[in-house]
Amino acid sequence: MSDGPAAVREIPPASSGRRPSPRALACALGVVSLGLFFVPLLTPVLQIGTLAYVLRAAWRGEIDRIGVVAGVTGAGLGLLLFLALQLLWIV
Amino acid sequence: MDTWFSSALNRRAFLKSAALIGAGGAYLGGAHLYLKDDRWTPNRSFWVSRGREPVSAALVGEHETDLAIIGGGVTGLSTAIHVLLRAPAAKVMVLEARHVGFGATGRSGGVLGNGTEMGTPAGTEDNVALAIALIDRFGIGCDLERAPVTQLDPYRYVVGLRRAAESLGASVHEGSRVTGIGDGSPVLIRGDRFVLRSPRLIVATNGYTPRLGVAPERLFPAHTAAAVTGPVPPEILRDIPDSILVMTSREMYMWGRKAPGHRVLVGAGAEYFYDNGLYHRGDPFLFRALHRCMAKSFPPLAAFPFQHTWTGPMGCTADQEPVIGTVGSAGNIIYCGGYTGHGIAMGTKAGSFLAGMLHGESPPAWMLRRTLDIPGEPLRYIAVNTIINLMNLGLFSMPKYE
Repeated sequence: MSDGPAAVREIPPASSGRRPSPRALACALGVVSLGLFFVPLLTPVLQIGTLAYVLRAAWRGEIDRIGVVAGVTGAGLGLLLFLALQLLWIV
Repeated sequence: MDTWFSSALNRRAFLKSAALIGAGGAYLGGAHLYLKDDRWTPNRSFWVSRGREPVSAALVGEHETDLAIIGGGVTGLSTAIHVLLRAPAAKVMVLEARHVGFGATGRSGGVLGNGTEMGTPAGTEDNVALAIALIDRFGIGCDLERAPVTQLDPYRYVVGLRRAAESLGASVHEGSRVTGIGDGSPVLIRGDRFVLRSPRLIVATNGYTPRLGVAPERLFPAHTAAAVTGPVPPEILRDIPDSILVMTSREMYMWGRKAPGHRVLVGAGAEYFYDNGLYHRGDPFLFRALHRCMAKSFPPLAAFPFQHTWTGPMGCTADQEPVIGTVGSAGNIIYCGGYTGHGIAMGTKAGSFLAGMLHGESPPAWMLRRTLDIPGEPLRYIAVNTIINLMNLGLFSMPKYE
């Protein structure tokens, strides 16, 4: 036991200032959703997750127009390409 | 410096992370339940539709043999023939789950060629000559055309191989599905109604092999589709090549041939189903796309709809070349497969390699090579289908074997 003053440990915040901005995150998710449209099982989740994230952020007013357009375009186009690849069956 | 990843979790963040991980697990679990299918696609090929041979008696009870072979396709029956040609007194038993030619053999196009998908590695230069030698020696009636392209009815060919194997003393048991392989010496082979002990076992099930628990890291089934038109007038058929090969991307192609009855047979595509799935659930666009591709390449055929359509799994490896390997603590279980659609001639030749191995000879070194290990599910489904998708898009090519 120590007789000195009790050490106060500062609890860091759950998220620091290095978290990417919603616009950067939406752009990154949009690019990955589109770029990896040919990966089954994982990509549809990423694309739907991206759409959900962007729409939620837009509803809350946390994201600008560029972020919304980039996220929705990337994820939407990626999802369409994924479905085309699965259903139209390229011969 | 604290980052988003290294910062401490508070209760809310912890619950959010746990929910996310739980949702991911539930998604993968749901995908597993939805995608896994233990059925087998029936063989509805044009060849089988021309008349199926009576099925031989299923194996019942406890038995012992000198050599057990699982798989009544071209590899298994060619192995039985080559073993019995070398050792006529050997007791050889061939076990086939459904009927001979049920797998890739009876669903193929029936075009014979030397070499493999990726080239002509050592020992494969005379694959066609070996198949023709067997046909001539045993008088197999299989609509063989020797020139300009060597082609035959693959189902009649494999039925002929069964008769040849039986004439040499092999016993072929159809309707005898193996449900388990017990490691040891002898190997214990279990089925629904039989137990078979054998000092050595050949697993010649090609695309069906991973489902037996043998070499799942090396072999996987890829389903391809094929179809046959109705009769085509001679003036149109004259302009169709004897062997069709139309590239649809840098790596994928539509293959085909003229089929008996003035028809045209075409096939294309590769699909991998979850957990080495052997059942094609159907795809409303599949044969429309195949017909469109045929009509684009040969416009006069646009007016001739398909009369027979079928799908089936072919055996593949990571590098698209066939492999031979041994498993089991005693090294007495030998498997072979992965012909990637070139199994009629190559499978016949592989039978001679396998028979040689049983007599102390070594197959070509390239067939014993190491291959990239294919991971288990769900990574397997993601990896294999990603590569197939990239090949379809022309964004990826397999390195050719030299």
